[in-house]
Amino acid sequence: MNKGRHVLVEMRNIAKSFPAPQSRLPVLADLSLRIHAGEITAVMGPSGCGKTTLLQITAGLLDWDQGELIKESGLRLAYVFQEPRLLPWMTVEENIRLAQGGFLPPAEAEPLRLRLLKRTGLELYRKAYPLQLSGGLRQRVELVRALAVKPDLLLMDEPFQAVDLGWKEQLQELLLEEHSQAGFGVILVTHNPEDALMLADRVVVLSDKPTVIRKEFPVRIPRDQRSIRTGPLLEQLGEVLELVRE
Amino acid sequence: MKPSIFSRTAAGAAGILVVLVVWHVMADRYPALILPSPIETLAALRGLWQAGLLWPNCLITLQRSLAGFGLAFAAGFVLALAAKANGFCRNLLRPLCTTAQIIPPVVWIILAMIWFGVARNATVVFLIFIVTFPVVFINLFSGLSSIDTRLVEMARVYRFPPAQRIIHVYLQAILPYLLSAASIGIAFAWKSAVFAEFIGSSSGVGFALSMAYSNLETEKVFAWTLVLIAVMLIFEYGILGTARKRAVRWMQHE
Repeated sequence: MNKGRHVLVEMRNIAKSFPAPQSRLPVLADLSLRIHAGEITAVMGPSGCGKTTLLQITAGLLDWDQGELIKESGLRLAYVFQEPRLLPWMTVEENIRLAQGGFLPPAEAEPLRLRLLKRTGLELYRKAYPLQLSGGLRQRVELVRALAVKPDLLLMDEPFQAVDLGWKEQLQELLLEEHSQAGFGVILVTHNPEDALMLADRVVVLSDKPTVIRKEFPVRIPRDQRSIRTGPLLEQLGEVLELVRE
Repeated sequence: MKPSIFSRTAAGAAGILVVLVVWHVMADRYPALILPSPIETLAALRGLWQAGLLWPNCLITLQRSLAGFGLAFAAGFVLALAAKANGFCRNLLRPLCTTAQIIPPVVWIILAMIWFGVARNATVVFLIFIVTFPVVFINLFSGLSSIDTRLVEMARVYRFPPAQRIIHVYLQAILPYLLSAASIGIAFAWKSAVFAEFIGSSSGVGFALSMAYSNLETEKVFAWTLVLIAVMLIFEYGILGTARKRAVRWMQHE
């Protein structure tokens, strides 16, 4: 388990461009970022600035053009995709079990899976196929699958976008509980400054393309005092909104 | 509203009944040489069974069909994989497949008889292969092209072992295409086998048909035709139908 503050992933001057009709479209210009164990880093920025690209590079799904990416050896990754990527021909439980198979022995995997399914209200849907579920339910399965592999680093791409408000709070609570117990690192890509401030230890704000880090700051409010209705969070929310809108 | 299984079966049975009645009425107006009645056809079928001709001939044609289809399926699968992986292979194979499809089967059977000889198994199997291969290849290539790369990426992130990736991601994704290739391929193989046996063989259902035709035993032509239809229906609805239902269970409650 990765308790403590050691570095899980370090990006040094990462640059990434994509082919465009005329030339290449630079997306990430020069990005340096360290992700620590036990830390939740929220990444915000304008649409199309490369937030998902950053997650994909970290996950090893995309190559980059320049720079260096150093990952802790044997790093166990989980990814909550923006649009759920569940195997449609497998039931909810089979999807989760298959992902666990590569990481955990069955004796450890099963109780964890069942606990998470129960906690997220998915117990009744264990034998359902993804196409039978609503977008919000699929997103919940996606989150359960990610937590069920006991990751060292959890990559989350707008994980609460399709989830209804009532469940959003419960899922965020679950994420924080699991995080405080297991101490995994998180990169949370979000458009929502409230989500960033409720969950993150640190917020990284990206610029428009070609993207660099515009600002990086810690969330000052202690976790147990974070509530969307209290003064300190509202105060910092104002700062973040200003930064994002600039 | 979707018709129930009962109403669909009833409609199908009614269609067959209409054909049988029309056949019977028409057969009354013509001699058996031109159009034998359903009863005469069934009698001929019983005669073939009692003479011990039915099963051995069917078995030979089935063996040849499965051999030709098996070869076409294996070659189609390997080459579809190669075409998917490599642009050069893709550009090489596609025009060849199209050309093979354009050439009429009769040309292939003539060539097969010249190359392998008349009344040889290889002649029949070759025709089945050459007719079936392009269909299998095109279907499987489409299947491979339809694999959702987002699911492949997910499997990479969660480090599915190679065997699980092949079984749970790739094979499941192309399963509908595999079944479609099997369905069309087997039907092609069966028809080609009968055609090849009719032209250049001394055994099998096709040869039996050519004998019945030469001897002007029209009721036997009809009897063998019923056998050909029955075998394909058993394969299509009995074997492939069940497999198809199981394969797409997950789509049924969308």
